[in-house]
Amino acid sequence: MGEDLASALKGFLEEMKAMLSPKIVFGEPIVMEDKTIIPVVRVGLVAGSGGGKGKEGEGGSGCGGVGGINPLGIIVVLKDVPGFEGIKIMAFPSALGQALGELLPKAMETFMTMMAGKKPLGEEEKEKLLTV
Amino acid sequence: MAEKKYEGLLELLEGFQKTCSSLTAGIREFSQGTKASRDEMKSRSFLMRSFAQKDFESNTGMSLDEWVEFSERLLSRFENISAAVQRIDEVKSDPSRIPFALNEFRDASSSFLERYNLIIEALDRFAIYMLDMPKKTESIPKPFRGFMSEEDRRRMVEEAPKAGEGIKKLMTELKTAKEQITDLYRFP
Repeated sequence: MGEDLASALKGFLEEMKAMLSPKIVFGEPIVMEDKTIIPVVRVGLVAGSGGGKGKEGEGGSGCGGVGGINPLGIIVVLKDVPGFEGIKIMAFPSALGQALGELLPKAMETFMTMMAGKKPLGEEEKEKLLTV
Repeated sequence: MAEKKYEGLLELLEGFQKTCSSLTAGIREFSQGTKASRDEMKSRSFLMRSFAQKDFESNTGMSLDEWVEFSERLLSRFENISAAVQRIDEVKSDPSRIPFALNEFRDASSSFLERYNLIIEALDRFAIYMLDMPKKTESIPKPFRGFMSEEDRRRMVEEAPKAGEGIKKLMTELKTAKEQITDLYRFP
């Protein structure tokens, strides 16, 4: 494995390590008055890498991957109900989970765009600022 | 400084040197803050990071990497302006050398004056974004809040407005600097 590929793969794995943190699998608890809700999602990932050398001795290398998020359900912890009775696990039907998985990123993106209501600066303006 | 045409130059230089000193410290702080935010953004989970980056760029006009680059350029610009002012100060007792030092000062400060309105507009967007952060945090729907850490929420509510106030202060100092530079331009 060439140094370039080793370095690219190392960076890629670091990125994937951040992506696969437990926070993605179990969302932060949503604390409500009488209950706490913990979202549960499944993260899928496919990754690959490769490298090679041409006749002139010049080579190339790279790696990539694709990830997906699939909401599985929620865990509800009722505050005033002791023991196992106070813990409810509500699984989404697989079709709903898949639909939510596709919807969630789009919904977040739409929400953020609505919240922003503004556009980044144009290239010319950026150029002026970055050459002040 | 015998020549009448340079009357008032000493007082202006003194005032502007104080502004430059405070301003470079302020820009340095701003630059460090944007670098820390960039590093903090990189530590966020993949999902939150992509949305946060998009939200930040749409609202402030530039990405965090670009803001870091801009802050470093602005700092470098004001270090050059400060050095040019220092040279005027060094030759102030010899009126024959003042015009050359003033020309150097004009060269150092012209790009700042030309871009002043754009700089203020961009910084204002950044300041408003930071000042509005607590309100924005509250308006995020609960299902989405589940993917934010408690530390992220604390930063958005407590630290962002302080950073916004810091940017507003920086804008005030840039305005003072612009007025003082314009005043210095009247000397031949």
